[in-house]
Amino acid sequence: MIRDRRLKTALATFMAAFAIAHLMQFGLTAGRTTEAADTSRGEVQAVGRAGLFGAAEPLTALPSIGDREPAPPLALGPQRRVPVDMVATPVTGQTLSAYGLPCERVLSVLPAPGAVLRLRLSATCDPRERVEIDHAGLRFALVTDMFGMADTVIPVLATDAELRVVLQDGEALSARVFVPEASQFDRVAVSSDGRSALEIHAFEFGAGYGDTGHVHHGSNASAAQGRVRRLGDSSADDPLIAEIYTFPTGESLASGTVRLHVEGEVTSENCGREVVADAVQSMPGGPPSVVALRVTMPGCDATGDILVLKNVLRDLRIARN
Amino acid sequence: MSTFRFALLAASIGAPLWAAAEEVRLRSPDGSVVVSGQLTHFDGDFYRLETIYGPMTLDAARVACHGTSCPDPAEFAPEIRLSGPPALGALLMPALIEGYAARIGHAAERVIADDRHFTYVLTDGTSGHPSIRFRFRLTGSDEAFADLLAGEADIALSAREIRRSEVALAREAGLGTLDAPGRSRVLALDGIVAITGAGNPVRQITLRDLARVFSGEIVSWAALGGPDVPIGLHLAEEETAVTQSFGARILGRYGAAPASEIVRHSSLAGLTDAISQDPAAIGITAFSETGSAQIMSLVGPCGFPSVPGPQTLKTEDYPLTAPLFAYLPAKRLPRPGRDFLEYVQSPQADLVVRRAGFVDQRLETIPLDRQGLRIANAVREAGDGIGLSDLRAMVERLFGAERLTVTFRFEEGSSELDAQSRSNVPLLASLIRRGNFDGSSILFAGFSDGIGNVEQNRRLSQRRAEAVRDAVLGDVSAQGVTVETAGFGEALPMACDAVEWGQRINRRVEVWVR
Repeated sequence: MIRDRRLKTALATFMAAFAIAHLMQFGLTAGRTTEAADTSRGEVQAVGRAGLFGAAEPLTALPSIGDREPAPPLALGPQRRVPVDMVATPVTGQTLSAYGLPCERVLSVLPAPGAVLRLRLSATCDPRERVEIDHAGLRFALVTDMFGMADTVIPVLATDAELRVVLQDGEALSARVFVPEASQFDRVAVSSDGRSALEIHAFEFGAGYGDTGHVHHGSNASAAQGRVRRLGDSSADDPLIAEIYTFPTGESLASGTVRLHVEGEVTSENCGREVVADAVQSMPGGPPSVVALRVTMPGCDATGDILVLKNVLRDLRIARN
Repeated sequence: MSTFRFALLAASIGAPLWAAAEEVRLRSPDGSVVVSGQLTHFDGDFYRLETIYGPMTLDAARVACHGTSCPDPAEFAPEIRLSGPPALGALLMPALIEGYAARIGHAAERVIADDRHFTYVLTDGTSGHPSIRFRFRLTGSDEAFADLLAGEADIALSAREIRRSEVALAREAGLGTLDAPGRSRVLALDGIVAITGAGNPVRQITLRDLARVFSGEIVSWAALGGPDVPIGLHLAEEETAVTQSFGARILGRYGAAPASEIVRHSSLAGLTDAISQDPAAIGITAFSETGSAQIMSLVGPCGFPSVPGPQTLKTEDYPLTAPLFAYLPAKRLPRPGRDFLEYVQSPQADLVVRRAGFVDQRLETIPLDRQGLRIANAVREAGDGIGLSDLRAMVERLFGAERLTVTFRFEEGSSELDAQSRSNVPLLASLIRRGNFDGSSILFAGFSDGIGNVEQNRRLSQRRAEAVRDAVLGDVSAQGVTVETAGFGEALPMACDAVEWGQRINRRVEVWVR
């Protein structure tokens, strides 16, 4: 296995050269890579392993997302973490990064509690580059750091979760993970141009503006039942920002309606123009529904106002468990 | 003579699209027909020209268009304009359009002018060409019919049936007879419900008390068995179909006028949000828009609570049903529009309707053992005219069979089927035609109210059962099924005969299958 040897080399170089925290995490996930990697230009599929094990392992036993757990030893018995790893080499002629690392792109996708995926990208020879993530129509752009690393947490929109990461040169790394827990959550996402990002505002069970049940990016996450996460890096060239609202339907003790509004500030840049976005709404028992949006913003005399669209996202109807 | 065959198809078409464009020339392949004029409309199937002879409509498949203003058939996507209330226009139809797009593998794009005006564009992923556009205007049911009459909508979405006056106006406008079969579709079932804030201990109310509450005669929850707290009254604005229907069907019946201190809301969503936060509040809304409020059951003077729910809306055992309609004028929709309407009636669409939080029309069966309360009530009510032997004969016929949710009920004081029941006729007929009941026996079981002579009621219920059977089986060949009718008279009441709505619920034809 040529690839295995290359990975070990990568691991060794890593060990010798760089910061311990990064090293432990990425070195180990890379070491446990099992999926075939097609190093030619284009898309690489990594399907299956997590699908099998992810279903069998209770996800609730996993540490919470924010935890930095110690890295497990390489040779260990039944594992609780089931990553899907993708490895590919960049298509450029370059072989070593500015820090002497072999040029390599490693995508690691790990299911975590709450039906989210933890995504880590290590693209050693693509530092400070825009990468675009697409999961079932939920799209956003990240920027890799000086070492070519990027990581984020993605709420899953369907039990059969597909994830695609597209790098600047057009190469795509993709992974598919079975996340049975996703059926316990209702989710709605809006992706839009980061320069005039549209926001999701959720009003849980009759809540009014500013009430506890008014949930948006920036509201107190612990007070309400649902939460809005914002994904994407606004410093990217051509920024693409996604907001996603999650309601834990599976554990809801209340029944009723969550109303969903899309809001956007009228700015001197977007006034009177069309803002392009995508709306993704999870559908129980099927793939999420994706609709492209083209919103005509109010004229420039309304600059500074907030455009409120109440009819774009369908209300969530929650039945008591 | 071919000129006349070409023209005069599809008479009425909507607003001009190619205003003030250059003249075009439409020419048949053999050159025998050439017509020049201003192109005013193209729907993918037909050209409409303004010519020196007046307006002409020509079949696009049989003429070629010459001129710079000719539409490119490959790029062309017909537009269907829909007007209607938010429940239908913002929730149900968009869900159905997205479901349809997924079904045919097209991408859906929503172009938003503002919150009440938007257009869905479906695009074929392989060719990149748009296939159809749905232009929405969110308004009330009244306005939706007005748009249809003014030629500003191709489909009116409505939370109520069309009024006689609107039918007459539509006929004058050349839109055909809109209350005729085939001119409307029931998109989903719905009902009018009373709601209170969460935590209110009063869970049921009589229709009479509901009228008393909203006319200001009852002002405290104490009169309804709750704490001595003033009742807060909420209604949607008078233009809302639900409010109109409540006024006609409940306040009107009891000769009550709405109280002056009612809080009015511009939308049902706003109404339910206000009520859900206030336990002392009561309001009238649609079952499809109860938000986070608490739903009240209706009760008659002799018990029999009637709980609004998907099943009681399907069976119309809940008295205040109010199906959601699409009205289609007598003009030909372009092909993709007809395909979409076909999808709307499909089982796949039923699933979308349910997921969008509405009650679909899919038939369900209710086994006899889940109807214990009904049977118990029948036994309790027996003795006066209906004897034990009648009950035994009825149970014998129904034993081992299952009731279908489809039930036939009649307009108030009339032998005409009500709107939902009329829509049930083709629904049941098509299931029988498709062989869904092959090998089974279908029993049309007629029931009456308890007013008048027992024997007469039995005969009346028998006649009703036969009439419904004839309506359903009219042109259906049903060799695979055994069809029977029975008239059980007043044997199995579902509501109190002491009140008018109870009598109406009791006059019915049920369908049982074994």
